[in-house]
Amino acid sequence: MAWYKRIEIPIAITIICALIQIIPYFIVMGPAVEEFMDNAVNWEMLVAAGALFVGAISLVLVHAPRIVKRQTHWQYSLELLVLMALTIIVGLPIREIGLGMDNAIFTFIVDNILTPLDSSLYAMLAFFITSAAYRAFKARSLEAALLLVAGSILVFRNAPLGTFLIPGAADLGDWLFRIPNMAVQRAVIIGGALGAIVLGVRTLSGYERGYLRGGGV
Amino acid sequence: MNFIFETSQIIHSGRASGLVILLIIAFAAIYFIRRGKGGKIPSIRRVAGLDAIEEAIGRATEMGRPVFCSQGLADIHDSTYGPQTIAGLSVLGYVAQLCARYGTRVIVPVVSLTVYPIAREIVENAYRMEGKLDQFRVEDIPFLSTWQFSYSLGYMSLMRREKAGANIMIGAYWAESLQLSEVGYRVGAMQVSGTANTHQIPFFVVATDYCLIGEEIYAAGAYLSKDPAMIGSIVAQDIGKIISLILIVLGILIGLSGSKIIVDLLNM
Amino acid sequence: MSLWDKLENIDSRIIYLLIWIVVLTPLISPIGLPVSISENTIAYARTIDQLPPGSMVVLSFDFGLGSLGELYPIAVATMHHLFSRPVKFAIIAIWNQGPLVAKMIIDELNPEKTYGKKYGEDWIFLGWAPGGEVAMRALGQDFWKVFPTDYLYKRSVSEYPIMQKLKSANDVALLISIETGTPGVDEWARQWGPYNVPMLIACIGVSAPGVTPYLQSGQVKGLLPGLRAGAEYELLIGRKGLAVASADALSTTHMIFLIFVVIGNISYFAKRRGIK
Repeated sequence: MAWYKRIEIPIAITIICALIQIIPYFIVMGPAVEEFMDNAVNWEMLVAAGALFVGAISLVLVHAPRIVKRQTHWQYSLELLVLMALTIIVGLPIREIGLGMDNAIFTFIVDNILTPLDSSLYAMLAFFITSAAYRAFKARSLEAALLLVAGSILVFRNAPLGTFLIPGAADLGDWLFRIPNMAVQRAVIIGGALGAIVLGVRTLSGYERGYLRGGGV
Repeated sequence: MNFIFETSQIIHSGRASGLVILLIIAFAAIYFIRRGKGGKIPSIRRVAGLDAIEEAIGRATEMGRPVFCSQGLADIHDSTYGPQTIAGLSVLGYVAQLCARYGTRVIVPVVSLTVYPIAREIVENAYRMEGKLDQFRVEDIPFLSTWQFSYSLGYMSLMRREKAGANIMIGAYWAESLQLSEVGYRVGAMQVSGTANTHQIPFFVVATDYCLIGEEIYAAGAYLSKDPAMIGSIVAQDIGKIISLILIVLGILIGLSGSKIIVDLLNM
Repeated sequence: MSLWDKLENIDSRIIYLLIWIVVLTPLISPIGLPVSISENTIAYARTIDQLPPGSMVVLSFDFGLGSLGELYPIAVATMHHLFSRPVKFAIIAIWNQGPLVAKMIIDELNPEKTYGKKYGEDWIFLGWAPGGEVAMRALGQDFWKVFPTDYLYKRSVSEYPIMQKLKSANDVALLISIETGTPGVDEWARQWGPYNVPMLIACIGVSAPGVTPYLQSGQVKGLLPGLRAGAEYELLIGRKGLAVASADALSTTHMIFLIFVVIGNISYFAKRRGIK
């Protein structure tokens, strides 16, 4: 195997980059390191902004071949690329030639395409949660019954009609929210953090290779 | 106190206790990994969700339908949610290998550009390890979109068109979790889910057949590998929980007496 | 198929149609159900009311177009409240769609005409800071580095008097985050916690349970969880808007949800007991 394909190289890179972040967080290492860490923060922001362009390029790389080869539903790929190009061009921040986010076409796309589509997809959750709850919220066991009762109290708490019909629902719902819910949230957060730490140790010690070539399992 | 004054010149203020706890857990993980390698394998409880993955893949194989496997929406480099994606990729390796072995199609809808090449290599490698590289299809690892609901819509459409037989979702999910679960149910897929995002756990519990909660997903890679060293590391998570419990109980008892020593210790 | 079988297997299309009807009907023909006001909402409003004149507030739009239904009314009410007070505030966004939403609200409220607030002196719109949690950290250290120009006019921030009072998180009296997920309160608490900046959080209902630990610890002073809290807030500040208008639809949707859950349980138990 060529040396540059050896699995030890990405593992070493992972370890070095992780230690660069972890050690200065805990240990005082002087102004030069602090400045390096601040610059690293700025670089990360630049990379995050640059990722937007990578996303656009990747979409072109994925959909252009579909159009060229006339694969299934190539028309939708064409529509996607045309709309993407249009949105990018009209949204370019060049006010002098009438482009930018004040551009009428850009505003139209945002107000009449992006916003309704995004909102509608999000709104689907209302339908899905009702059908899922109708199907699964059954008191099959003690735990399921407790879940059902707690959920019902909070539904009454959240609906103005609920607190109107059952005034005690507000106080009971607030208590559930502030006490048992908070305790469980903390427990899950602590458990999750511990799991992430141990996963980090496995990764840094080279045992966790699932994110590399699937060699861990 | 002199000790605290000197410590703060080496360790950033307010982070010493965190460092101590981190080191204890890290050393515990390394200790138990080495114990596992030495043959002393700890017994851990069954995790129904992880055991169900093979059952789900077997069911999909019998029905002649593909298996869907996704890792959530987080980028792998995300400091908070990246570990969930790594956990999901560990499961993907296992799923891909089983699918390759049984001759079942595995479809991996991807949302993140950083995850896409990793997922592709994991699946390709799995097929290679099973000696079935000719059956690997790169089109079965579609990069859908970096936009949450565009990804969700693409995923739902794929599940309907391909008639998913199993849907395995382990990683960081947000609002799309319920959409994907509900559509998975509608197409008759057996679903195993897992996330450490507390706000989505209720939806997964309600809408999928098996749900891994919080830290169980981080143990997934170790658990599925059945590697003794990896299983040993799971014990370290429990060590951390024991430390947390001791601190909580001590904090309550000492706090009731009016003393703030535990709080001050943790603020060091 | 027995009655209980039918009740246990109602076609999902019927469920969806009924939900559609119960959401739409109160929006077209409001019922006017009363909305009681919770402690969290009072705390949210009180925190803004008690800000000393001239305090610097940072208002962060941490949500996108998908959450407009639930968070837009809250965002409008919050901005109205801030414009009505003698405080200064900077609008930022950690989500890339945040500026689009903020711009919608600014156009709707028309601050100079409605409140007499001058851009650059009383308020400023800085725009989107890319990088999520990394951006929050960078902002805590140096606002000018993250936002060298403002969002509306693309002029150097040094030209604006308000920015002379906003260099880092140390200058901020209150952080208000209107958010829908990640990055959100967890990231703000991690990055701005060391600066001890009090926070107000307005979030979608499903995210609210995750905010409670911060409420209990005192890092978050007030919480508006979801549309119902938005309606409470609008009533409290005396500016009825979209949230109050949607409150009836909220009630009817929740009730139909419960009705279906009850039907599912009744049919389940009836079948289990062999009732014909």
